[in-house]
Amino acid sequence: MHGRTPGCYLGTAFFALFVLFLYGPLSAIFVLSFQGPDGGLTFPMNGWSVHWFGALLERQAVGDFQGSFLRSFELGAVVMAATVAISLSAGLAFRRRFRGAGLLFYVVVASLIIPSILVSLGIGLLFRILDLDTAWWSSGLGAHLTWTLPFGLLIMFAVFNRFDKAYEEVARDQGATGAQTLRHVVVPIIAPSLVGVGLLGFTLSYDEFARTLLAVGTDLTLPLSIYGMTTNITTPVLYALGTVTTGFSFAVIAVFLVATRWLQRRTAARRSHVTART
Amino acid sequence: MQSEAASPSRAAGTVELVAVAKRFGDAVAVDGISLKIPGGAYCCLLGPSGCGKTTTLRMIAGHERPSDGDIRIGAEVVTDLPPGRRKTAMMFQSYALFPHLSAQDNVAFSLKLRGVKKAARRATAREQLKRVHMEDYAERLPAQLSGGQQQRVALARALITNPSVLLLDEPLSALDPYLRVRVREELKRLQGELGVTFIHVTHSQEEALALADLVVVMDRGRIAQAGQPHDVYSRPSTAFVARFIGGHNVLEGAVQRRDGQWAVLTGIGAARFAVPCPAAVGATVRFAVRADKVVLERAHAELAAIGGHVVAAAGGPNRLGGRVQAIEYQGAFVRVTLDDGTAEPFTALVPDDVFYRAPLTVGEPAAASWSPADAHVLTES
Repeated sequence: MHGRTPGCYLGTAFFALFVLFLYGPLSAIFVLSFQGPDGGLTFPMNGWSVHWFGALLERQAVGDFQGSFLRSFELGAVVMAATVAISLSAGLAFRRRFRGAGLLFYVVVASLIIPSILVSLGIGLLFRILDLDTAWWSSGLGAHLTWTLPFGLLIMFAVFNRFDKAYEEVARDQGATGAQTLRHVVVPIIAPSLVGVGLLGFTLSYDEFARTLLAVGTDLTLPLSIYGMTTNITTPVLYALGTVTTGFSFAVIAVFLVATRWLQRRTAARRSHVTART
Repeated sequence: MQSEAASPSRAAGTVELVAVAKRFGDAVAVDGISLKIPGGAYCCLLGPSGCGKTTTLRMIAGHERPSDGDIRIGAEVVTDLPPGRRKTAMMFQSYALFPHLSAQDNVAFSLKLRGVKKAARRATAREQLKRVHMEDYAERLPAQLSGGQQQRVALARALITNPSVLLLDEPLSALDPYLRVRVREELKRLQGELGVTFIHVTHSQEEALALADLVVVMDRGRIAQAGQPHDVYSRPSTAFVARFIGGHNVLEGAVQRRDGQWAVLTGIGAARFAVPCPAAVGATVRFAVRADKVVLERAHAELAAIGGHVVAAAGGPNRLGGRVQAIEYQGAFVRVTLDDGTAEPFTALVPDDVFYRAPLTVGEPAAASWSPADAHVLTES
């Protein structure tokens, strides 16, 4: 083979480092989660077992792991739905130039620039002044939306930038109302992007830490819960937790990959069906 | 017999523009045009890009609101009606087939909006697809169709709404030249069968001349000339129309003297022409000569050197000298351009058998002549 430049080796080395940093620690956690019942937090392995995965189910061993996992999952789902609905509406609104559109845009995007911990502090403070209790489903939800909505809006801008207005004009020409145009034309065409916005919303919420910290109330989300455990748990159950949550993330990705594959296969089937007829 | 049966619907397809203007901010796209298109006519809006033809079409469709003036379709003023209630249907330049729907569901879209059941609307859509010979592709997605096939589906989708007026925005521009001519014929045939008014935007004069009952040449937001293709081609009203429609030489001169119905002009380089024109002595007159009415012959070098030459008597042939600049073989004709000393080369279309009897070569001096009756006087635009 020829054409291997120094840049090529540099790139390979960089990629190797990247893989090492991302999957090295992850692999260590994965391996250590299978410590024997008498094993510790570090190598060497003291036997092999699934003992610590069993311990995950005991509340006294890890605190409320299941509760925080469910909370994070529910919160992620709500944030996902709200992000899709609000980003889509806002994206549609910004297509018509309304008064103050520019200012509103900067106000929204500024949310990405303000340090997350300050947003969290502010929300916590506001709730205290209003004499309201902070909770993951109220102040926590709000904190997460300050993080996901600007991203969702930016994606919708990109989507509508490329969207051919002629589709909507055809729909109006054919007698569609605004609502019918949205339902039968705009949403189906941009559906893949909406799925993307939803997934992003879920992911951003599921692993959000800084914005949640001071706005979450007494019942913690999963990342906060795990952080708490790193300071007070001294057994490999922590690694078992890491393995399970990472496994869950991979499972989510797998579900979407399978769904995409299925959709593609369905389209391909439709195509071959037509080709057979012609 | 068909035309009698269809006459009430033909009246419904009459389109009238009354002093319609469209401004985008400070830019004037359409500058107060008035036009009446008879029902059942094939009308071509023709002009260079930016002349306002597409904006005019979009205002008729209802996708742009006129800044001034009114639009009437049939007996109804539609200026304030939404596109779906105008009895118009538009076929977009990009076709804009919905990418997520099969061909038949694209065609059935308007029926779906009206709540027609799936089986019924698909059956109707298939009939419509049959009309454009696309019934075998009913289940394909737009991405699986060629440009020509997509266009047929778009046409079927527009026609299924039973419009009185079909609006076509550059419908042939995306097709290759061979297909363009075939689809052109098909559009004309379809229009004849349906008796629906077609308004077709194009920048191709060839397309407009081939298709239209009414050619509307537009220039900078105004109508430069509207008429039957033959009238527009043989009697262009302005220098712009003569140049845009092609096949014309535009010349000008000042009236030096009058001779009966003829005005004798002096042009650039001492060229003198006789044209049928009532203009007074001293006036500047512009006129057009069709390139295919010009006779070319080999000339002496001095003639080319002077740049122009004259008729002795009014009524005799006009002559112009120059050097052959380019020779293009076009099949039935040979297109010869002469450098006559003006900015615009002079063009002659010589029948190929005539040309090859005594072929000219590039750089040779030649003289062009034409009968004064073939000089067509233009008005200032």
